[in-house]
Amino acid sequence: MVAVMTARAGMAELQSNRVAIAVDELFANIAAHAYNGKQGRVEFETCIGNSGDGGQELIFNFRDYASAAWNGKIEEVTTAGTEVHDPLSPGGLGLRLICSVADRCEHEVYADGNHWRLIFKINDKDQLKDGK
Amino acid sequence: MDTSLKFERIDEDDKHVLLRVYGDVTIHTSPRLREHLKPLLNGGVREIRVALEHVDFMDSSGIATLVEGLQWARQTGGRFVLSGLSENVRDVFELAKLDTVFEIEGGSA
Repeated sequence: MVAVMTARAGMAELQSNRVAIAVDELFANIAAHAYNGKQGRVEFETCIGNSGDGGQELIFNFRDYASAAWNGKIEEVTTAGTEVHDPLSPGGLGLRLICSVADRCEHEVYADGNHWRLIFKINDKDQLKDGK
Repeated sequence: MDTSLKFERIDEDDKHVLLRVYGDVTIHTSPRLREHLKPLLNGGVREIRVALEHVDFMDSSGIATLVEGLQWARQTGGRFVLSGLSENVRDVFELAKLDTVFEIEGGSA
């Protein structure tokens, strides 16, 4: 599904792989941390929408029903940037990858779970050249 | 996405081993990579080369598994070398800022 959407968005292979990495990592984090490796329900939807600045963006929404909240980890990663303090301690690497490739990572805690949104700008020809 | 992972192990001599990986290294398949890497890390070899030219996709679990090889090299003075990284796999190492931490041979495949 990710490959279909990145193709529709006209993304180059490298950017498409980055989107796939971010989606893969977010699913893995929900499974490992929200559901603690146990079976759980995740609703996933994706669309291409207007970004409000004249461009378009590729959006992935994830809804889980896990009782465990994320404890603000993704915000910590987002605000801390993507520096690797100790390369031999790979903890948090998945979240760092998500935040380094997505233009925006949003997270809301609900009473019965979490809502995650990954947003990737499209129609930005300079995106890859800028290292995003 | 390929969910299987295959390996080819070539013992060049009793101290130098090449491990060639085939398939996507993800949270589902990285335990298999660890299974094949662990005996090498504990087996008294001096150099481990992991050939990744047949890996098109790798996520953080794959990188974390390879970090164990890096830790082994630093602790034992051995060499842990990655080679044949595709453009996509090399990009993930760069995004993780680990491309300069690992010993990586050759350009993009």
